[in-house]
Amino acid sequence: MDERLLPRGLSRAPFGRFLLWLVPWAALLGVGLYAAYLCLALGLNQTNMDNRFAFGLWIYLDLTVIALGAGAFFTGFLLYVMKKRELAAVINSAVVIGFICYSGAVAILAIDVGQPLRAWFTFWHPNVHSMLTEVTFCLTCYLTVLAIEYLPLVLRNRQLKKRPSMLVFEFELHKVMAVFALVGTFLSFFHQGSLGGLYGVLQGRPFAYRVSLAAWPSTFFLFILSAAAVGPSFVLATTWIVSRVSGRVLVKPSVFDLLARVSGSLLLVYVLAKSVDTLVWINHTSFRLGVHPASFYAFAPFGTWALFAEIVLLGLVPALLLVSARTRRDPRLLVPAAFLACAGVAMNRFVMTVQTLALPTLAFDPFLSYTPSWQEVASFLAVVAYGVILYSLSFRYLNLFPQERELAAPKEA
Amino acid sequence: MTVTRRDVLWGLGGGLAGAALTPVPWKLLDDTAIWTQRRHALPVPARGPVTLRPAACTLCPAGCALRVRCVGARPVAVVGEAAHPLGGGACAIGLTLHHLAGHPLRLAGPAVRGGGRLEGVALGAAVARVAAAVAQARTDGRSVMVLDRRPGRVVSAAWGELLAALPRGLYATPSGEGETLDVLQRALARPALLGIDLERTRTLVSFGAPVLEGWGRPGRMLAVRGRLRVVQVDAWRSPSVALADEWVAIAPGGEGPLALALASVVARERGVSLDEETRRVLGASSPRDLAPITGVRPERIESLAGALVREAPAVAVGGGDAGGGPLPADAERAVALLNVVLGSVGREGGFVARRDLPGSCVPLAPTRLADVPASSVGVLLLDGSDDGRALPWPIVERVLAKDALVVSLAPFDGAQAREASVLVPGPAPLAAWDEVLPTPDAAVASYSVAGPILKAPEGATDPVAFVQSLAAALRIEVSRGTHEERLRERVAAVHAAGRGRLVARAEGGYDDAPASDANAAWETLVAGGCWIDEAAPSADLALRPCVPTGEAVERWRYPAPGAEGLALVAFAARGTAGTTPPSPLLTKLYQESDLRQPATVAAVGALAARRLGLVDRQPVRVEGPRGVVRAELRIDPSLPPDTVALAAGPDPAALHPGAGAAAQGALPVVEAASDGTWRGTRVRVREARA
Amino acid sequence: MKAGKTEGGARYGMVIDLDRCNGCGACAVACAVENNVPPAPERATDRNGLTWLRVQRLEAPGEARAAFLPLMCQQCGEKTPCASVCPQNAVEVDPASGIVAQVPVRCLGCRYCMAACPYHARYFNWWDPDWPGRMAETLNPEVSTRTRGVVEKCTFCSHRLQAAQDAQAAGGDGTKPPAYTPACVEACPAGAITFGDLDDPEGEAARLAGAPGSFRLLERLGTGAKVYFRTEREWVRRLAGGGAAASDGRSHG
Repeated sequence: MDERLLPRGLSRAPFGRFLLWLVPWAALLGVGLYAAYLCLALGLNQTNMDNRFAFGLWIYLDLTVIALGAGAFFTGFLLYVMKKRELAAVINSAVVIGFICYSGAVAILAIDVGQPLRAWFTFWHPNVHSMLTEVTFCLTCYLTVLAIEYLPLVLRNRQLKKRPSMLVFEFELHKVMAVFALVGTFLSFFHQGSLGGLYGVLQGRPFAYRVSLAAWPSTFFLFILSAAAVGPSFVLATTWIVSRVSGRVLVKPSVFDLLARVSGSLLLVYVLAKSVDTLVWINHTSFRLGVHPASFYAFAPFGTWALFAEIVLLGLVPALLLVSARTRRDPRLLVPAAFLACAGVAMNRFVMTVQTLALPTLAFDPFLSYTPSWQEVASFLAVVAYGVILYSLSFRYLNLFPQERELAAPKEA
Repeated sequence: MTVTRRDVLWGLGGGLAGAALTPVPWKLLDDTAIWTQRRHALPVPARGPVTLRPAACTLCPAGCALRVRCVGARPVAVVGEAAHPLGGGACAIGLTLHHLAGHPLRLAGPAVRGGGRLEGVALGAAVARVAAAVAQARTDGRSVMVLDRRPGRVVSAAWGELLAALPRGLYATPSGEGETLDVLQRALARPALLGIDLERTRTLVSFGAPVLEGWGRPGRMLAVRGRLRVVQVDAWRSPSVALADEWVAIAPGGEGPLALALASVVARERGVSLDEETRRVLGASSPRDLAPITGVRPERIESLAGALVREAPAVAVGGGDAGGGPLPADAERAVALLNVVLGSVGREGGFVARRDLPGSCVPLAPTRLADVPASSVGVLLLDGSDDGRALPWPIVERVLAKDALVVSLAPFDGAQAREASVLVPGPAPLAAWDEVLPTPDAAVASYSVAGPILKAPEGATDPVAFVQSLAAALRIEVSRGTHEERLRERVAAVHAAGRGRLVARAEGGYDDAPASDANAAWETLVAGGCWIDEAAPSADLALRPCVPTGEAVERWRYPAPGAEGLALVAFAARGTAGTTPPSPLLTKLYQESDLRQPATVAAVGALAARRLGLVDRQPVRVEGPRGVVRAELRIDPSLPPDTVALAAGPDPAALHPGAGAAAQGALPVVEAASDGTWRGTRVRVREARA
Repeated sequence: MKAGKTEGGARYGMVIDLDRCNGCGACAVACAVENNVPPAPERATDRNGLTWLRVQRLEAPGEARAAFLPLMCQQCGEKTPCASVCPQNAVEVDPASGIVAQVPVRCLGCRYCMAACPYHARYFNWWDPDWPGRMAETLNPEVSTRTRGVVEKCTFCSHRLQAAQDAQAAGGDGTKPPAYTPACVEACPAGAITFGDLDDPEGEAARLAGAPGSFRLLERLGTGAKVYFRTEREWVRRLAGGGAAASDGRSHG
């Protein structure tokens, strides 16, 4: 029914089946939008956040998806700046996923703040000392960049391409894409770092506070490194998922190999840096603030296993797996390794957001725990649903994987 | 010229760019900021000239002196008078006094309750209804009873006048803080009023009385605290235990037997000469005999008694707690006996005689509520004053005959007023005339007057005016004179006595201000001053024997085997369990922080929780003989086994009146005994199914 | 953000005697009355209420006596953790008085300052404020009411400082920073709180703050807090003065 919109030379599921695929995601989106409406209309008491857990599920997941969405900028950097031509096979998909991650995060932030209509105050009364100001500026700019990077993909749709003006516009845009990619990389580095800086500057929270290098705490650099390291793994993981769901081969194995190699090496560097940082933190920083580091792990369930899991199980192990050529050749090891790396970043963001707030600071404070309310979970699932819907539409109508046609050719009758 | 699409696009683009240079978009942006402040209409309090007006808190008998900050005619804040000679400051509850006049539960005018709903009526109609009921009671041979929680005021005198003219008029008061002093007073060979010379006491042993938190005049307790050693005897870790010097943890109900056991040791150590009866009772009450029921080891009882003897003067007080209610009569007698053998009656630092207020008008001696015969009252008039203490309805209901008429004069619909069929609300706090009488522990008499700061609304009926209307309807002669005039007369009588000193409120404190005449005295008092009596000359305070009954001693020596369920320990801060509803702002203490245990929490010990299969924070049902309430369980390791501690106030349903929820806390579940106590209630605690 | 000593101005601070505080809560209620803090709705708990001043109960095993600690914004002077992190400058440290002021009309409600504050002294309006009955008639015109979705905290009753400054400007003695009394200090029946200019050598607050034995909470964090505490009880000092790691007591917040 919508054959005219489908990219030439690619086979896609019948329209009816496609709609059926969208229905449950649309329902999830509906429920989530209702939850978001409740939070906006009735207030944030609809969540289970409280004065101790000022940040909850939303901030944690925002940080995670932004870190994972870093695949967009880093793949762009590798392609346009480091000239790794193979990544042209996944750059479009990475951009779409990046766009989804960032737009979703911004949408969640709009409900997370108490007064969304005052969001523009940060631009009007910026505080140059605050990491969050930097995050706000950079996120907004980068979302714009992502939109601009997404636009050519849309414009190259079969029907839209027919209009000459669109073709010209897209062509002009394509000439400057490298500039945008560079700008995007720069902005992305910064806000990935600032998101880390958000926690590293908290001198009132010895669990999160880190020493500074130049003007930035070490978490600034660690977050950049971890995002850059995990970005390619996330691109790999999502490409694999899409490939399984659609039942099509989308990229050549060499693309996965490259992504895994880059991810693995960077992850190794990150694990090293993180270990050094942890040692400094345990032996110097926390004592300077009058706190024994053992207290950070004195409350169940946040035992020292969490530190071990984050750095070794979900950091060193996937790094070694990804770096080893033998592992990379076996998809049964390669793909789980990529997922493990993504889980490692998720764990790191969780620890920095939730554990920081759960740990008491004053001696007469209790250790408190927090479970998100259904409104929080539903709102976030709405973002996931939105992402799946947008990605599905992009996959169906746009040429997300340039290698797909080539890989699918022998199959055509 | 043809207009192309490009032209349109250029035009639009240019327009947008140009608009950015006008104030329009920026004003719109700015408006979003303003909208965020107006979205849910925020009240903007009106400004006005700021004045400070004197007042007294009416939520409990302490009557702490206050300064009310008014903006225009609106009171916006209340401060305690720190320098007051009788003890300054105000408690957290008194600081919200100015909220009460606008409380949602405030009654607008006289009403009758029918079919669960309140219907407004004219005052005349309400009075007529009451008068008819009084006449009916006369015919049926039933009494007409007034329950006055703060006896001794001119309003009390007005009631007394009315009741004296009725064939079976009863003037009753519930048991209060001063019960120990009442018992001692009744045992005096020659009648006298007693007070406690706390300023010179060395040891204060409190049997369940919240002496360090809402007792007597809190300002006085704060002033003497430094020199006093406080031994708190309590079955749970009350706020007074948390502040006391020593905690004697007893099993629930152990107050009386512990006092008796201590008395036996003290009498032995001091070699006190005793009459026959007392010697017999004390002989049967050694620490070893009574240790099991008290839950205190005999050695501890011995050493405690020794300490009391050494750290003389020592004073023992009972009187119960605002939420847990009075101690049983025998327990009070045991506490009184302890004071006798300690030799603290009639000595410096102990119980001393004090003079009565000059011009005290007591036309009818008050009857204790517990002594009123059951089902004998045909008309019950609940005076609107509040003593801040709980009074579970069954205690009152016991004396009511079938189809008795209950009339409430409280300004609010809550607590007892809910049981009344005729409501004639008085003026709310700060809108009424009031007097501050000496607290039961006062060593000297004192007096002050507080005038209304707010204009009472049309529907409010001054209690003296009500008495006069009712008397007129019953064709009884009572003295004319409005509330204010009667207060003036009283002040004149105080002034005429020619003793004591008058202090006036001044900048930075209180100054002596001897009055030239009664008018001057009145002006000083109404402006926030206070009259303080002189110490009474030492009197002969010989006592007749005052001992617990034989049955009580027997019961204490041979306790019955454990009954089913858990012992309920009810408690409340004074001022939160009476007839006045709590200000909504008290959520700061009872809900938004865990400084005080709210009535929605039931605390049990760890063992009890384990035995019942319950965990911390679990929703539970507390099932008593009369009702069930819901609560959240908390595990408190300091509680004795088989005990559950549940607050009697403030009622969360009253803290959130709009929600229309049922009453919660201990009061709906307690079992009232015929002696007016509810300490023996046993309850079951079970998991609550949602 | 600003150095310890303010220029030509005052540095208002408090000294709280933990041995005098009896946990009556009058300070907490007086603060709520003075600053138009709304009462909690039925669903609220002690984790999402608005208690600018909250009295904490301190307990140690083996001690029957509890200690009480009134906890409010500590008005940090050095590297004020909340001021440096607010993305839209809604937290202002006043150099003339040292008071850390909150600007509710500019607050976005991002709650970053709440994560930054180690004293948990900042509170968020999770609900729309509601004053039942005619309680709104008892509101204080000197303090603005806040909407939902913004953060608020103790301001050392800076509106009272404003009034004192106005009175001084109108014809008082302008040589010294004006003295004024916050609502909690005025309300305490035990006189446990002393308030004043910590830079005034003749002032009682400065004397007590500098006296041996005075300590601040989480001193090692270097926040330059202006609220000092005093106690003669060693276990209270250890529990209050140490951080979470230094405690050996049972926590009860």
